[in-house]
Amino acid sequence: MRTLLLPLTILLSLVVHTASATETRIFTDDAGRQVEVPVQAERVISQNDNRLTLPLLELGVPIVGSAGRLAGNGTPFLRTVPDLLGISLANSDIEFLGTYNDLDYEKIAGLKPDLIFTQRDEFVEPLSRIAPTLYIDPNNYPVKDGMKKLADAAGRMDEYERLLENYENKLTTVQNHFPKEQDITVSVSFSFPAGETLYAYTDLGALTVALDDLGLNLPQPILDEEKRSFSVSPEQIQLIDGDFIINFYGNEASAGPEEVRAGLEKFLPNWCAQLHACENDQMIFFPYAAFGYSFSALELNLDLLTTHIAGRQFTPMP
Amino acid sequence: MKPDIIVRTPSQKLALRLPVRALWVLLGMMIALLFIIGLSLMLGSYPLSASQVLDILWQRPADETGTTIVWEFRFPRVLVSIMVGALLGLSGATLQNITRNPLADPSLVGVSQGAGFAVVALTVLMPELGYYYRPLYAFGGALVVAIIIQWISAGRTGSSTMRFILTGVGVAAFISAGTSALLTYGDINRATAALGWLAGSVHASNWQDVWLTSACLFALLPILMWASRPMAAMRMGPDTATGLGVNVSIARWGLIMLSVALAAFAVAAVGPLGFVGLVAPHVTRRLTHSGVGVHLLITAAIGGLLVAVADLFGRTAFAPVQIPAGLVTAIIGVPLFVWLIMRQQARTEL
Repeated sequence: MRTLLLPLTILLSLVVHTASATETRIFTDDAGRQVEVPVQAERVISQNDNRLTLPLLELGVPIVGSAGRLAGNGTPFLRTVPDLLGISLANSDIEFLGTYNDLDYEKIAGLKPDLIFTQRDEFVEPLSRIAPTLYIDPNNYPVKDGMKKLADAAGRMDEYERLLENYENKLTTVQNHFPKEQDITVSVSFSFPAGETLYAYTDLGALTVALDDLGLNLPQPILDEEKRSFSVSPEQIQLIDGDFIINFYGNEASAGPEEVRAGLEKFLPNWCAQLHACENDQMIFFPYAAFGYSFSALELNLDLLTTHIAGRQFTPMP
Repeated sequence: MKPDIIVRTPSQKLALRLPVRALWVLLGMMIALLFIIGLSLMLGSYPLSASQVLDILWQRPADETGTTIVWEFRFPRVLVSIMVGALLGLSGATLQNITRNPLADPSLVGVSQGAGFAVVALTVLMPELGYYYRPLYAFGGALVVAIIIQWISAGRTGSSTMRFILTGVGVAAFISAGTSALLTYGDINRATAALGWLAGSVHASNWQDVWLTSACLFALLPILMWASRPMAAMRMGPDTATGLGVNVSIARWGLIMLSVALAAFAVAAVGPLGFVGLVAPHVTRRLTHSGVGVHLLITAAIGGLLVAVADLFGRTAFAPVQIPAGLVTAIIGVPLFVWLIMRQQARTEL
């Protein structure tokens, strides 16, 4: 009897699995298109590493291929994904599909995906020739809302609920380190070692959400801007000033904090003297992973902000 | 020197002289185009053998990855490449003939800059309009800027070639500065999306693009062939053309607008592709000498070949990294152009 039961069980599970793999439902994407998608996708393609691959992998979605970026030596990589999840192109079966601006459609078709995510509306038409394609731009949502949307689209709501609960538990703990009545301003900026441009952000992935969750405010001149980001000219550098200023460094040796500081010197000689935060040693450099789009990035920010800001003496901006 | 073929109507009222060498070159280009179509259907990240491609083309097996790749991507892509290259080549050849300036190309009349500015402005400032209308406003931008250049360059004493060229260069520079400003100060994500289009790429071409581009090509080509007679007269200068009975100002205006339309349709379909309009007519001239009509046909074939080769190279050389055809046409076009000029110079000196 036992010998008969085992093959029957395997056969039954295969039938159930096949049924669930082909089962579909209708999902409305950001462009208002109603797309027939698998209830739980099994072979997923992502068009953007930092904004789609990272959150989808965190939600447990089986990604078979992703767009990425190229390092200076031509090696492809996924931005922030290895830093936050330990998953890279080298240590996983995820295929590199070109850069997020120029996808290799043939390679995507060869992977036989059952669902494709893109954050660029213009890619929907060519990608739809291969498999059901959803246009969801995470930049239009705060991290938690965007994660919920992606989880819903990929049929991973249970995992979303688990990740949200973990984050909220951690937030409750970390909030104890920050005084309830506080008026600390933290600005979020970005510049490259080349020092050509400086950007200020009102919304930058997990970082600005974590700041908000901890009750840390962006400086008013930045809040007054309606855009997600804007470039700041050297003459306007004081726009980004606050009690603390956060800038970023990359993993490569040529993009470390020292190189980014040197870049700012090229951008505006003696820049540090123009900024209260820098003059008072309250300028902080976070890794690129801090602006990732995932719960792990949110949790990383809670740790980084606690380490650098909570409980320390600092000179408030006059 | 090979003799020319003379084709006459039975009444002997009309005759057509066809240089044999030019006909051989045209035939050679057609064979080269067929060869590049075959290669384009076979090569890529998902390699297919010639027999597999033939099977897919004739049998069209359903639910096969190869069918999707050939019918949905490679085939429309190579056809659009060829037709866009032909449109740009014809536009450049027309402009070079009218202005009698060997450096004239569609960017001289502001087509690329006008289309680029319109696309960048609407992508950065009004993203809610969506990308669907991008070809439409690219075409609109190209046309508006070309008309402005025509209007400014038309003086009281009629338009002069030098005035037209200088106006084109000036207005194009002004428009490019506006585009750069929008890219620099606009939202970074929107600017990135616009930059992708500005690089000039046929990577997402579909069958709708094939029908639209072919409709434009087959509508404008006969008009251009019909206009080859006044164009031939204008190659000899406005005074001689007038002496041969051509209304120079009307012919110039009409031919420039025809050239603008050719380039605008190409740019609207795939974005600005540099150097094709400049290089293709020169390659034709280096290969053979012929009348304007045959020269235009060979130029169209060479333009198509240039873009198809550029796209094939950009798609396969560093796959899965895709290099836009616009970058490759510049990379291939410039050295080729320099080599042709140096070769010609060496022959002259010898």
